[in-house]
Formats: sequence, structure tokens, C-alpha cells
Amino acid sequence: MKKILSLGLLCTTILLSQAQAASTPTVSGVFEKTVHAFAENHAPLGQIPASDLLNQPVAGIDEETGFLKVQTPKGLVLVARAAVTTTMTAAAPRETSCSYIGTLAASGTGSSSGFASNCKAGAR
Amino acid sequence: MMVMFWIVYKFFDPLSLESATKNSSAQFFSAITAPFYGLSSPRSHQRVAVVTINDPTLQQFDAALPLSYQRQVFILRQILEADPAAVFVDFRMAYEHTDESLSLFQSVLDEAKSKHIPIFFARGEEGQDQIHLLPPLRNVESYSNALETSSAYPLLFEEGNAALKEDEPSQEETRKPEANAAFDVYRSLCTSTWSGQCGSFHEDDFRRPMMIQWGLHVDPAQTQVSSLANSPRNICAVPFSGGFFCRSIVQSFTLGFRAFWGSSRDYEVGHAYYPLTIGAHQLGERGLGTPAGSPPLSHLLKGRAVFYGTDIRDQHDDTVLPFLGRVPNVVLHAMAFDNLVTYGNHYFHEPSEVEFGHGVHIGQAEICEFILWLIFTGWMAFKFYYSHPEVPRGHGAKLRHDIRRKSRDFLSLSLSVNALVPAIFCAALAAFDLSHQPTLLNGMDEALLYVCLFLVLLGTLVLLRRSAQRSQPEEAEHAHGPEESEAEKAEKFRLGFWAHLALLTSLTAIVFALNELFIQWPNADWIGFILLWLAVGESCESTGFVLTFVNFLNRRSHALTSERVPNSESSSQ
Repeated sequence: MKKILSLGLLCTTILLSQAQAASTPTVSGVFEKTVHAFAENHAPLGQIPASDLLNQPVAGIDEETGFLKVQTPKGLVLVARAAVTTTMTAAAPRETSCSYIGTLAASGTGSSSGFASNCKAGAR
Repeated sequence: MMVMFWIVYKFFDPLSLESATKNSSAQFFSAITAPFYGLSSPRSHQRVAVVTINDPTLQQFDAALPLSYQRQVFILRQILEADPAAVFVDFRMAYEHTDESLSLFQSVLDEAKSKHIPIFFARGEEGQDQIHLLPPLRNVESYSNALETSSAYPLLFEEGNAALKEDEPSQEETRKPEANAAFDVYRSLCTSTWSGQCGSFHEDDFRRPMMIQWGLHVDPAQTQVSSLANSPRNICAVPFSGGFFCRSIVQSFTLGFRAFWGSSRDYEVGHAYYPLTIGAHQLGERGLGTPAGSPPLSHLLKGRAVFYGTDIRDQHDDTVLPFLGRVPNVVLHAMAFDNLVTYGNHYFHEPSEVEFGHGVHIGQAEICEFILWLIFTGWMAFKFYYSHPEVPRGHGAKLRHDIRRKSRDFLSLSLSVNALVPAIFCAALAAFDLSHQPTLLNGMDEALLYVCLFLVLLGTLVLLRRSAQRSQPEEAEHAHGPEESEAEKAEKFRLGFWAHLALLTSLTAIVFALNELFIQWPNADWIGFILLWLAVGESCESTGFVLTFVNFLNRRSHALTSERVPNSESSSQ
């Protein structure tokens, strides 16, 4: 009887862990060969190979930077959200960050505009 | 001699006088016309959008150029999911990355095909021996030329220039003529999903290169994408917003004034891009100030032709435009497309050229200038010759006397009668213009333009009347007086300085109005000619540059001239 109970418990544990693994989002794709990574305290870790991230679980989102927390064999790293694709359920679109509209530089020697990010404080 | 002077000025361009005048006057004309662009067209703005890879995009993507094909495919899929009308990709993928295959784009092409969305990939500049793109992009390539040296944007390329290469498959004999980005997109839409909106579309109507007209207003949806608070100019950026100072006619005057005095070269005088411009990283984000749950910004691309390219600081993919400054070429293509949507086949274009054989071809604008120049200088010479008292009386003298008497008679009528002529002229132009506007949203400002034209003409009339009144008693006084020197005589036939200047201004205003309404040639082409005519005014001055120049060339035929026109020595001093 004890053996049967132990086997049942083992099976339940395995099934639960499988179910949990299935619900945990993972990194499904990477656009470049390497990705810039940061430690949890936002210290730069340099570039890590894309293969280190593929299929690794996403542990969450860093509130301060909006970066993804990815659990890799070498530890938890933060990467830019747009640098990878994940199996996370598509969330509702977040509000775009405030950027100034590009203005044409009237001077022929001036550089072209591009969007300039970081609107002044208070203007989101 | 005056004709020779014109030829030297026009074709030999000493000290770049002609080209420099064109460039600087192009700034002025851009400044006064840009506030009006698109305001009377319900379709302008709404049919075009630009998606750019810019500095913040690279930052957010944690990427550098060139982007990986995977990334490009991801972005193009986002664009296609929004159901755009068409897509032009302004990235030249002539060579394959070492670790990726262009076949990744096949899925994008398949999706575009299944959704009936025309898609094109940039091949580079025509005429630069650009190689064809590799499969699978070979069949969807399009040229991506920027402006030519004449500042015109080519739409179609002559078949001789864009001849099919020897290695081209024979089935491509039925291919359409090679086209530039904006026209390829426009043509594909007008012959498919937009066939009802383009009217009767004939490719031959678009052979002349386009002089792109620029607008200063942003797409109203741009405020969802980015903030407008960084430039004082952008206060007026949203069409029909802002107060009195944002009205297009007020903007036209203020910008024109600044451009006239060259102060538009300040860095601060920036203007936003006319087409809706979205960073690629923003496609999946909702708009600024929109409530949670709003659709992503990519939904703004629905039904528009999307031009996708780079807007990276200091990259070599931009064009310097008069008055507006540097513009990324992807925005240039988008703006050319907007011109096609706004004007159809009545777009502003380079004048056609007339072939004289042996490789000699002269533009219609030059021919038109030449004829006008002949008329002006002929009139000046006619007046000058028959003004001399010792010239035998005949038909010419009588004709000159009659013309002078009639013009004096007209100018001696009351001002209100005189004013009827410019009033009728301006009213006719305004009626024609407004009746051809698809919408009268900006009708008040358009009408005010003609009021301004009338005031300019009226001011000139007043000065001419004063000039005529002043010369009348002087003429009577000297009619039987002592012999005048040639210089004094010549001086008497000059208009007053202000009258001459006003006459030039009026002429400029009239030609500008006629050109905008009917001819639609580049305005800067003929401004040099008008300025040259200013020089004619001094041709009667004995010490003037023109007469000195003419006399220098005329020295050899001096004896002959002396026989025909007595006392010519004094005029050549």
C-alpha cells in the first residue's frame, strides 16, 4: 500500500511540475546572435549568446526598466523585451513612451531628425 | 546684344548666378507654398505612412544596423497584420547576410500576396548599374532614386536607361516600365484596389519628373505617436488647429518673410515630417494618452501605403531640401506618393524638353523665357530708339507715341476704374481656383491670397500713375527746350525706382499665381529671369553695367550705329 501511495505521489509531483513548466513562459526566439544582458541590480553583463536564452523560462518583468527577467543556467539576467520573442500570452499594448516628433533640420549641415526620445520631465 | 546677355546668363551660368538664384529662391517659394499644401485635399495625409528604424528603435530592439532578416521579417509581419494598402521596403538587400538567407522573406511575400497587398523592395538608384535583388525579392524590386540634380523626383525611367539586362528572362518583355518607389506603389494601387479612386490612370501622364511639394502640417494621428512640444513651429503643426498665427496665409507670410531674408537657415526653424511617421518599435504599443486596452499604433497603418526605411542620425540616406533641410529618403518617397495622391496627374513637374536634333534639347521653360525676354528687350530697344528726337518719324515713332498716349490715358482715369482691371483678373483666378478645390476647408485663406495679389497689383498701379503724372509736366517743359544729353534723355524714360520694383513684384506675383494654377513648373526656374529683367531697367543708364557690357561688344559695329542713330557717342560713354 505504501508503495502504491509513494508511486501516486511521485506521479502527481511529476504531473504538477510538468503542468507548471508548461504554464511558465519561455524565450521562444531571438533576433540577433547575441543579446545585451544586465544583472538584477542593472549592472551590465555584456553580450550573451542567443543560445543561452532560447527556451529558458521568463521569471517576470523588471518593474523599473520594463526588461524581461530570464532564468539562464548561469543565473537570472535582464534583457530588452523587444530583443526576444516569448511564449507569454500577448498582453494588452502598453502606452508608447513619450518621444518628441522628429523635426527637419533647416540647415543643410544639420543632421536629420529621427525621433528624439525622453520628453522633458512630466511630459509622458 | 540683350539676347546674348540672356544666353550667357542662362546657359553659361557665370559665377553660378543663375543656379545660385534658383537655389535661394526655391527656399522662398517652399516657404510660402508649404503652409497650403494638402489643406484642400481630403485624401492628402490619409493614404500614406512611414515606419522608420530610428535611434530609439535600435535602442529598444537592442540591435544595430543592418538588422537581422528575422527582425525585418518580424516588423514586416507587424505591418502586414495592420492591412496596409501597400508596402515599400527602403532597405537595399542586394547581398545576403552570411548567416541568414533571404528566403526568410518568402513568408512575408506569401502573406502580402494572400492579402492582395502590393509589396516592393528597394533595388537602389537607377542608372548606377545596380544589380538585381536576389530571389525571392527579385520580382518585387523597385528603384529608390532620391532627387536629381534639378531637384526633381523621377517617377518613370526611360526604357533606354532601364533597359532589360542581357540575362533577363524573356518573359519579362511584358514587364511594365521601370519606376521609382513612389510611382511603383501608386501604379500598383491605381491598377488594382484603388482603381476607382485614381480616376482614369494612364502611365504616360507620369513621365515627367516630379517637383515634390512639401507641407508643414503633420498627420492629425501623429499626436498619438509622438509629442509636438519640442518646437515652437509645431504649435501650428496640426492642420486647422491653433489660432490666427497658425492660419496658412499668416504662416505663408511669416515664413516667406524669413526665407526672403535668409533667416530660415537657423537650426531652430524645424518642421515636422508631413506624412504620419511611426518608429518600428512603437507598432505594438498603444498611442500616447490613449486609454488602456486601446489598439496598438500599427492599426493606424490600415489602408495606407506604408514606406518602411531608416531615419538614423548622420546616415547617408537623406536629402537636403530647400527651406526644410535634411529629410530621410524614406520620407521623401512617402511625400512623392502623397503628391501623387493629392494632385493625380496634375502634379508639379519639370517642363518638357524640345528635341532639336544632334543631342540638342531645350526645356520649354527656357523657350518660354527666351520669348518673353525677346518681347521685353525688344520693347526696351524700341522705346530707346524712337525716343531720340533725330530719329526719322515713321510708323515706329507713331506706334510708340500711340502706345504711350493710350497708357497715359488709361493711367489718368480715376483709380477705381484703373483698379477694375486687376480686380477682374484676381476674381477670375480666385473663382477658377476655388471651383477646382475638392474641399473648401481652407477656402478663406486661399481667397485671401487673391486679395493680396490684388493689393500688390493695385499698389503698382498707384506708383505707375504717380510716375506718369510726374513725367507729364517734365516732358512738356522740355518739349521745346535746349538739346538734352542722351543720358538725360534716357533717364527720363526710366520708371521711378519704387514703380520699377513694384512692377517686378507684380509680375512675379502674376506669374506665380498663373504657374500654381495652370503651368505647374518649378517656381524657382523663372525667378532668375525676373531678376534679370531688373537689370534691364538700368540698360538706359549711360553708366550702367548692361549698357557698358553691350557697348563693349558693340564697339566694332560702332560706325554703323553712328550712321543710323546720330549722336550715339554720348550714349556709349
